[in-house]
Order: sequence, then C-alpha cells, then structure tokens
Amino acid sequence: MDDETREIVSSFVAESREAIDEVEPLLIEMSASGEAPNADVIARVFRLFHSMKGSASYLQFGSIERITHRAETVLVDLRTGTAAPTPALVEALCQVLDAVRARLAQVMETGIDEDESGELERLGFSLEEISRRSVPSGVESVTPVPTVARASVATPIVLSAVTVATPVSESPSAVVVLPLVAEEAVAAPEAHAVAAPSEARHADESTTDGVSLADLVEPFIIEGRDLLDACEQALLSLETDGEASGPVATAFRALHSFKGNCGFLGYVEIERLAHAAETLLEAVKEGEVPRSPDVIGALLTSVDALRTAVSRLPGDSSFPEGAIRAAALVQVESDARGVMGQTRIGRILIERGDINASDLVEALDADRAPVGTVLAERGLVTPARLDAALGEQAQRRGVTARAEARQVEKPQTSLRVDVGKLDALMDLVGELIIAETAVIHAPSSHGAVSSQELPKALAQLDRITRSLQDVAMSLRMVPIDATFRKMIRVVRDVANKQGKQVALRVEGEETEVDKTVAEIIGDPLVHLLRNAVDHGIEMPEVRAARGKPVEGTLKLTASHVGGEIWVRIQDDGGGISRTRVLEKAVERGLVTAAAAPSLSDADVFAFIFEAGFSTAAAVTDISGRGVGMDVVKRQIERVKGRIDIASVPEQGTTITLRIPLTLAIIEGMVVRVGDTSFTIPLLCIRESVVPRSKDVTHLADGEEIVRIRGQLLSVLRMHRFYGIEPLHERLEDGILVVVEDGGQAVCLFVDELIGQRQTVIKGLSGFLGDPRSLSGCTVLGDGRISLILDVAGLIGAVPRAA
Amino acid sequence: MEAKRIEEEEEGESQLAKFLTFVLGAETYALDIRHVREIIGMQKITTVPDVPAYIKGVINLRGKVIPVMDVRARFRLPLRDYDDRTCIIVIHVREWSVGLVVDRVSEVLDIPPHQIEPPPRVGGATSARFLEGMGKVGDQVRLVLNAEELLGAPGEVVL
Repeated sequence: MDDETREIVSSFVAESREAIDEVEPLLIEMSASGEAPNADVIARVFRLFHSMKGSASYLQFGSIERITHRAETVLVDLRTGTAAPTPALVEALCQVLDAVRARLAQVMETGIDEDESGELERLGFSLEEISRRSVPSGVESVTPVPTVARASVATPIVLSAVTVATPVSESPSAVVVLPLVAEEAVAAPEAHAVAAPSEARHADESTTDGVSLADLVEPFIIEGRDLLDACEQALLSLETDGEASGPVATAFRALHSFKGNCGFLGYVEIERLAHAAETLLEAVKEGEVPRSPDVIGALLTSVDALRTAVSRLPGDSSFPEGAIRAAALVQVESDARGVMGQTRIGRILIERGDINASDLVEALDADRAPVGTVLAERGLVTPARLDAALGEQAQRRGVTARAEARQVEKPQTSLRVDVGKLDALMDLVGELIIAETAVIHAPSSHGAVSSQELPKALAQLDRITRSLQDVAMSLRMVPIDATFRKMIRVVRDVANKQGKQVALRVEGEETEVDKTVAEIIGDPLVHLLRNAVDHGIEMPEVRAARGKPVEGTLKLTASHVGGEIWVRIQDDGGGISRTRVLEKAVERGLVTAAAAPSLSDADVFAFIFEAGFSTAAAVTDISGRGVGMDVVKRQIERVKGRIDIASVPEQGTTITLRIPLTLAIIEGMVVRVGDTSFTIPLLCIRESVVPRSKDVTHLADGEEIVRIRGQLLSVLRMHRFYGIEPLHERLEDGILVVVEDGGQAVCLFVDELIGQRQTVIKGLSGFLGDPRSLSGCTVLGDGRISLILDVAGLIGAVPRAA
Repeated sequence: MEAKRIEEEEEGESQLAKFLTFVLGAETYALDIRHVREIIGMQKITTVPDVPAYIKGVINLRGKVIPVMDVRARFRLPLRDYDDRTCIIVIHVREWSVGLVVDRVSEVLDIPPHQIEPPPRVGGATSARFLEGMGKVGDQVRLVLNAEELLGAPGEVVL
C-alpha cells in the first residue's frame, strides 16, 4: 500500500467503524420496538450501510461491498414490510456487523479485502434467508420478496435449459456451505426457487419489446458486428502485447456500446453475456485479473458467441450453444478478481471434462458460494472428482499459505475533531503571533525595556498560552458515547443468553473524555455490564417474586465531577452479598474471620477485585470464573482511576469508575534528590514530614521504619534506590514524603521539596528501555527536566512493612 | 564533478553519499548525513537512573525530551571533560531521536560508496562492531559508523 492508499483506506476503516458503532444500537432498538419498526430508524440504518457500501465499492473491497449490499437490501425489505425485524434477523444483522468489523481490521492491516473463508458470504446468505423467513409465507406469495427478485436478475437465461432437472424442493436452506474452495466465491442455491417466475418475466419482456422495436434491429445487427470485430481485434492485439493498455480500453468501449444496444432492444440474454464479458474486461483493465491466455481466451469465446447470437437475429433471439460455455468461462475468470495468477476450480473441472459448462454457469450464478461445493451438493460432480480437481488446483497454485489475518483491532490512529475546536485553535494561534510580535517589539519601539507595553504584552501572552493549552487538551477529548454505544450490544447479548429482561438506560453520553480514557475503559465496562446482567439482575420470576418489575434496569451514566469523569453502572438487581464476599475472603485468607465484621462495606466489596475472587455458585460462560474484575481494576488504574462500589441487597449495585479528566497533565510535587529532580503525582501524596530521630527504627537488615501518626512505615531512600549522590544522608536533614497507592503507603526520603507544579507528562524515549518506577518526565518552567515517579511501582519495590 | 557522477553511476550507486564527520580523540568518524537532524552545543543533561553508563541522561530540546549518549563512553575510550567545542549531534534512527556527545564536529564530506571498504575483521577494538566501513578520503581514512549499531537495541541496557 502506498501512503495515499493507506490514508484513504484508514479513513474508510475509521468511518466504517463509526458507522457500525452507530448502526448497532439502532438495530437493537429496532428489535426491541418489536412489530412496527420506525421508518426513520430503518432509513438511518439503511443510509449507513449504503454509504459503507459505496466506499467499499470505490476501494474495491468486494466482500465488504457485497455484504453491505445485502444488508442494505434487507433494510429495504424491512421498509417495504417484506421482512420483519425478528430477533433472528437483528441477530443476523449484528453478526454481519461483527464480521465486517473483523474484516475492517484485516483491510487496515493488508489493504486488501479477501474473503478467504467465505465467512462474509455465508453470513450474507443466511441473512437473506432469515430475512425471507421473517414474514409469514402468505405475504411472500402476494408480493415477491425483493431479495428473491434480485437473485433472479443475477440468474442467466441459460438456466432455462438446466433447471428443469433440478426439483424446486431441492432449494434447501443451505446456510452452512462448507468453504471447500476458499477463494471461490459463495453460492446459495436459492436461485432455483425463483427460476420459474423470472423466466416468465423475461419471456414477457422479450415478446413485447421484440415486436415494437423490430425496425431498429437491422441497424443494430450491422453496428453490433462492427463493434464485436473491433473488440476482437483489440483482444487479439492484447494477446501479442500483454502490457498495452490501449487495446483493453478499445475492447471495453466496443463491448460496452454493444451491451448498451442490446439492452435498448431488449435482448436480455445477449446483453447479459456482453455484460459479463465487460465486467471481466474491466477487471483486466484494473489489473485485478491477469492478462493470461485463459482470460483472453474466455473473452474471445464470448465475442464469438455474441457474434453467433447476433447473426441469428432478428428471427431467433435465443442463445446459441457455444454461448453457455463462453458465459461459463467469463464467469469463472471474473471470479478470479483479487486472486491473481491462479487457475480457477471451475475451469479445471471443465477442462477435465468432469462437468459441463451449463452446470457450471448455473452453479456460479446461483450465488457466490464455493462453486465446487455447490456442484457437489447438486450431484453434478462426485466428491472424488472434486477432490481431484481441488488437488490439481492446489498443485497449480503452489499452495501459498497466508498468515491468518489478525483479528485484533488496532487502536485508532486518527481522531475526529470538532471543527469549532480547530477554529478556536487557529484563532488562538493568530492571537499568539500578534502577542509575540508585541513582546518582541515592545522594548525597541519605546527604546526602553521598562516600558509599560512589555508587561501588558507578556500578560497577554500568558493568557493566550493558557487558552492554547486548554484548547489543545480539548482536541484530545472525545464524547464517551461511542464507547457507550458498544455496551448496548453487550447488554442485549448477555440478557438474551440468560433469558433475562434488561433495559439499558444511557445518560450523559455526550460527556467528553480523553481519547485514551475512552479507549481503555471499553473493556472494563464490558466486564462490569456483563457482571451486572449475569450476577446482578435476577431472573424474571425471581424479580416478580421480590415485587420488582420483571424487566431489570441497568443505568450507564457519565458525568464530570470535579477534575474527574465518573462513569456509573447502576443495576436494580440482587445486590452483592456482603456475607458471601466475606466468607470467600476468609476462605482465601484475605482477612481473618475475627476482623471480618469490623470491615466497612466498601472494604468488603473491594475484595471482589482480588484476582481469582468469585462468589458465583455456578460458573457460566459469561462470568463467574473470578477473572475479569481484577483486570477491570488494573485497567482503570492504568488511567489513574479508582472504583467505588455501593450495594444494597435486593435493591441493586452501583459501581462508579472515577477517572481523572486527562492523562496528559498532572498536578505534581517536584522534589530534589541530589542533582536529580523528581515529580510525585499529588494525588498519591498523603503528607510530607521531617522525621524526628526518635521516631526512626533501624532494623537489622538495614531497613528503616518510621512512625508517623502512630503508623509504622517503611522508608525508601530515593538516592539509594536510584544510585544518586544525595545532599543529605541523615533522615532528619531531608524530608519524608508519604505516598500511598492501593491502600499501601511508604515514605520516600528526598533531599528537599521544590514545590507544587502543573506538569505536562512526556513519555521517556523508548530508547532508554524501561527505567524502574518512572512513568515519564516533564519539563519544568526553567527548562530542566524532572522525572515523574510511578508511585505504585515504587511501593511494589519496597518489602512490605511488618 | 561530472566525471565523478558518471563514476558513481557506473558503480550502480547514484544516491548522494554525504557524511558528517566528527572527532573523538585521534580519530575522525563519519556518520551518514541522512540520520543527522541537527547539531547543538552542550546542554544541561539530566541523569536518568537505570540506564547504561554511556547514556548520560536526557536533554530538553525545545520541549522535547531526548536521551543523550556519550560516544566516547560507548566506544570505551577514555572520558574527557566537556569543553566549549563539545557538541551534541542529534540523530534520528528507527523511531528514536538520540543526541550523541562528541569532542567536536568536523565537516560534511562526500564519500562515494566505492571508496568505502568493509571494516577489518581483525582486532578486538570495542568500536569495531559499530563500524560500517573505512572511508578513504584522499590519503586519510574516516571511520564510517553504523548508526543503528551505535544506538543498539532498547533492551540492551546492561552492558
């Protein structure tokens, strides 16, 4: 991928991800509202699929384009009432979204969209199937379901010759099509079912059109021959000079005009073959299909077939024998899109004489499924022969194993920014330049540095700098709603699986949080919400017995409180049993049975976050294994956040995540150790004291314990820890900073306190490796650098005080 | 000039081969100019704990904090006090910007690729592993450095 393509692709991926995040809750809403889907909602979902399809098509991401197209069709059906938003259909649509999401990750990685497993196609097919079944059959018989009609359009006329042999009843709901031939596109045998009605319609069209346009046929035949000759010549020159682009364009133009004429005169069958050939030519033009002798051969065969067809006009507009083979070949080669230099299974089967061309066309046209599978299913080729052909294909290909597309979504590298914020930024930069000029010229224009202008200009500069900082910070802030929207699906899935009824209410989704925070809290939220539904909300009958509404309510809210974001998950479920948590805690030795009753509720609930802690009687596939909550805690701590739990038995649980507004700036205490300056996050500092010698106890192993307010704390001599030459060796000469994290405290011995500062966090260069217990650095006002201490790391490095 | 260019093309190497040379003790070293971002005077270096001795610490380069390496220490040459000719060459290799402390910066030179010979395999000098080759300039030799080797791996903190 070159840079430009990468940029386009990455913006496509970003947009699509956003679109998916937006569509998902709408879909779920739709199924929740039941019988009468809101037209507006459908229209919105439709638009999102539609624009995704458009972009995918532009970028030639075939499988994404096809699947979104299908989803779009289903939406149209929903609008016209030919499909109903049944849970199954919504589920299928959600699956499609998941699959597209995974595909987007792949596209982002590789720049190509390859449906190797045929997964998307299968999903697409099952989607249509479910859509079709979503309405009572009565409706279907009155109005032909659009999906079916569309399938028939893709069914070539040649079907008439073949389908007779295939009983309609055989059109099974073959949702599970084995991906035997991974790169062959997927087929759905649904075409059978609709073959008959579509035939009828074509017949109608050709009779009426054929009669009314009779006197136009003569010129068409003459022009058509010329066009086909031109096309043939171009193709032949292509055969001798594989590189030239001119012949392809010429052939394409000729074929295109020919096709247009056919369409105008209503020669549907001829038009279809011309169209197929044109599509293949286009693929050749775009370099998606190699200019192999196979491909050119297929094109020439179709030109021959077209010429024969034209020569029979006007009397006989039926299709000549050779056209079937031609169509088959064209189809086969067209399918080679994106898979270069590889002989198609269909061609191999024909060449080996295992099947005849019309069977192949039918299988190919039925839909896009592994063609070998379809053929085998219909008994047109024996599994043994198919295997042999597949073997040959693999051999010809030289079997190129491709690394599994990594499914992990990479964190977004780009960010959508409100234009207003950018405008504000630009305004400030403008002001900054003016202010800078004022500062530079203030002394000289008045000839004296002590002029009145300078302090004024400096004050202005200061003001602008502060505003600039605010605006720059705000650029990183994104509304939390994208994160929240994902939760709707989570809650719905878990509730469905458990047979519980849960209504999720989301509030404050417009609250802005730092981009990193928005990304990091996603996983913890999923855990917490799952837990809330799984353990919190009771089964409907239990709720009824307790006199609560059968439907449980889950509230997810976000708000700004002080310098923090509070994300709150509130359920009206059974609450956390203090007794059971305590039992478990005692059992695991986290607390003694004697001490247990004196613990506060908050302390008791905090045990939940211990690794491996679970009170769930039954381990479900969703939760109860005791993993998760400790991960939640770690994740939240990564963004310097805290978790509060409040719970009332039988009334519910409220979990509050408290996360600092931004990670980029912290309030810190700057301290000095020898020549080195350290910054300690203020949030971690409890107090600073100058110890009296009588409070200090020296242990035999050299460890020092100091008594502060009746508490015994270990002393960590920073100069020893980091090997720095200190100003003071005696504890009484320096100062002890009491820091705490996660309920543990230690005293850091430093030379002196410099003062409290707002500090902008900068990462340490990756080149430096991973120095112990440093989370970054910051530049102080005088340009010196101060290292930011990772207090949790420091505390972990100290042996626990007795 | 013309002749030289033709010569280069004959070698199949037409890109400019410009090098920044600097002095450490008695030797002159050359560094591919594409790695070089800027040359600055000596700065106040903030020491960072837990890094190899040749990493002097970090400097504040217009708000950016970048690590600084003493090339003498890296080559295990005897250390000397920094003076007013001591410079920091800021290079950018892989994703890192790193400052290199050198005795003094000399000049920018063209050394055509065919004038660079592979480093001698013999001898156990510590600096040998950082050499990409020996560049012949007139009758003198410039030691062409491999910038990637010079920086080493990020994990390579303990020597």
